[in-house]
Amino acid sequence: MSDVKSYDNVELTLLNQNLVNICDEMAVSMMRTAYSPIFSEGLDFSTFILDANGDLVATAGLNPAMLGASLYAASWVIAEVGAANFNEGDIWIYNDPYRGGSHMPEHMMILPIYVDGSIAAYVGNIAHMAEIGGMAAGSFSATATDIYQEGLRLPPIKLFDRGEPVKDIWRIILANHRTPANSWGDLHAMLGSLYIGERRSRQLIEERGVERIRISFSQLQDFAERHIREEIRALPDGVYCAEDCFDDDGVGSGRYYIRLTMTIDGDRVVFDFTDSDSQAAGAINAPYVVTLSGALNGLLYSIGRRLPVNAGITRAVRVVAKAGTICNVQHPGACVGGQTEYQPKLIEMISSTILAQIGAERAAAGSGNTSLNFLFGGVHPVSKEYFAHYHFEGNGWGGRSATDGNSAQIMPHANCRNTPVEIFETRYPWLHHQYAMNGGTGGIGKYRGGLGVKRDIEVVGDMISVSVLADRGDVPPSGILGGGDGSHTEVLIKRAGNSDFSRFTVSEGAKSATKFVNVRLNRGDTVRLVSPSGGGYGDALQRDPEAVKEDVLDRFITMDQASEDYGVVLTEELDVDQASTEKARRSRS
Amino acid sequence: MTWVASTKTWNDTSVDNCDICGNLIINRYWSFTDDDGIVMRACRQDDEELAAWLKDQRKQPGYASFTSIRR
Repeated sequence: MSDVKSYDNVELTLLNQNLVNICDEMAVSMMRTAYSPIFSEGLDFSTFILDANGDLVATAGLNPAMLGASLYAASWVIAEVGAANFNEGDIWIYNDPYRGGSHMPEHMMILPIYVDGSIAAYVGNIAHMAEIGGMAAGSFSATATDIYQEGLRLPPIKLFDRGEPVKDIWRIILANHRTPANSWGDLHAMLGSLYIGERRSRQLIEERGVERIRISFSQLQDFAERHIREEIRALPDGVYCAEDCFDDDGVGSGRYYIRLTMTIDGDRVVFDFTDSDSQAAGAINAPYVVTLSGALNGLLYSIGRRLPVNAGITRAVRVVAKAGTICNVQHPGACVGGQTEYQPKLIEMISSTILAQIGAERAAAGSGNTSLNFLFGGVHPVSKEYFAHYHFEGNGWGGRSATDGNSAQIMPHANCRNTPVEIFETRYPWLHHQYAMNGGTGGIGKYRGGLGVKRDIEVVGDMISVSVLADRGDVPPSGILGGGDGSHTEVLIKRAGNSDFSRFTVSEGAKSATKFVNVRLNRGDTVRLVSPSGGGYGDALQRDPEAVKEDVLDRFITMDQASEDYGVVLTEELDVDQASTEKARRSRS
Repeated sequence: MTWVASTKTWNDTSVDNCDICGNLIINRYWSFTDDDGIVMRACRQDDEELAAWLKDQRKQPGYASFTSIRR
């Protein structure tokens, strides 16, 4: 029994913040030193600290989509490799989705921190590499039917051995990426982040003593477990069911269903995905860790209270996802789309469909919930160098019990940022003709769905190869409690000299309107990306007429929609005609 | 019921999954025989209890009852 003093709750809170700050500093370092916009602009990465067992102690609140990998995957890697096989100065890297990776573009690095010859902690990060090879530039191969078409797969391997780079591994990685200079820079941004995390963690350990830190890590995990169990206990016991579906899997196999039965049983939750469809032929499948991530994120969003996020929260949760289903892909199934298209659906099944069964005041209508992944590559007309980029688009979120849905935002589980127009046009041969809110498309309701966006971009180079992996092209975000549905995703093409846009299925022979790869565009061709708008919450006739007026002034809806959808009559001066509005609403209620 | 070592040679890059929850099996698994006499491989010892609980739950009315709005 140790005689080292344990921490009280105040000290634990301060320590937790200290650890999170270290993770934040690691993240800022990565953002500022990366080569690719997906890091520096998109912030598509996470940073974390693990205890000596490999269990999560703290993470930066950056990308919740990576929560599952942060909570589970690093500990799996450490268990598989064996702590005895780590050495001081080692850095391990991996991206294998069958052994804890979320999808192959996301690479995890882990560095052990040794104190007095023993591992006291690990620091790690996960980041989405913009290009890792595979069948499509940008490595989001929407029509892949096996993992080998999605890029270079790395089981846990050493990138550094006792402080020295393992050059053969570096050569293999760089030789398999289309933009090796970017990969070199981004991998070094990850390394720099690790070294900062190591330095700061070492300072903390030296200040407080390794034994006290060890005990406090364990206390922090217990603290988080206690809190999440309290929150779960406050939810009504019961069995709740939800389902959602994909439009298609990109290779023409029809809809795929995710089915969840969630049981709240005292202070624990069991998420059972047994009834979901078998794994798809295309790339929409999810590795087990993505299902874990989605279940935990859905639960945390439903609780709505900020809890310390560490391994303690996993003790109150069990996730059952049969191997070989869309929720737990098996080799050699393709799965790059699971992280961006499946996980948000799963979160929404919990935080919307199931929460509406528990208590409407916490629920939200359906959100756009597609990343609308837009990938492109080619040879730059000025630099003559090969480029590749991965862009995701903001969309409309669902209305909630007290507010409209957010507009033009990346999905909540990703928490990322899109590619600014300036980056699009200075680094790649594109010219914007339009980037606007998609007015008139938010689901109607007491609280309106947020708006998606519409972006028109013209090729100003000789050739660009484009690929898209998106969803919600067929099934729009749902309204709830009387609210209207939102709008669809659309990806359209207008070839140079044509006057009209058409779907890629029509003009390019794609099997899916939202999932295709390697369409070659030439100078003067224009792509239109239209992201979905969110569903509405509640009866549109109960919407505050002044809010309807503001929507008209903002061009979020038209005068006709104000009248037809909301029963609000506006004067020529765009003021609310109270008497006519009351009459119109009475006649329709 | 017992823990069983799950050893793989260095050149075997495959993974095994838990028969109960689908999780990865790393280095060892909990082996038990269920009520139907089937030998199961579990990632955790308490998955034996989870398996029995799930079997019971799936018989309850309302469990896995999906009302689709999207068909």
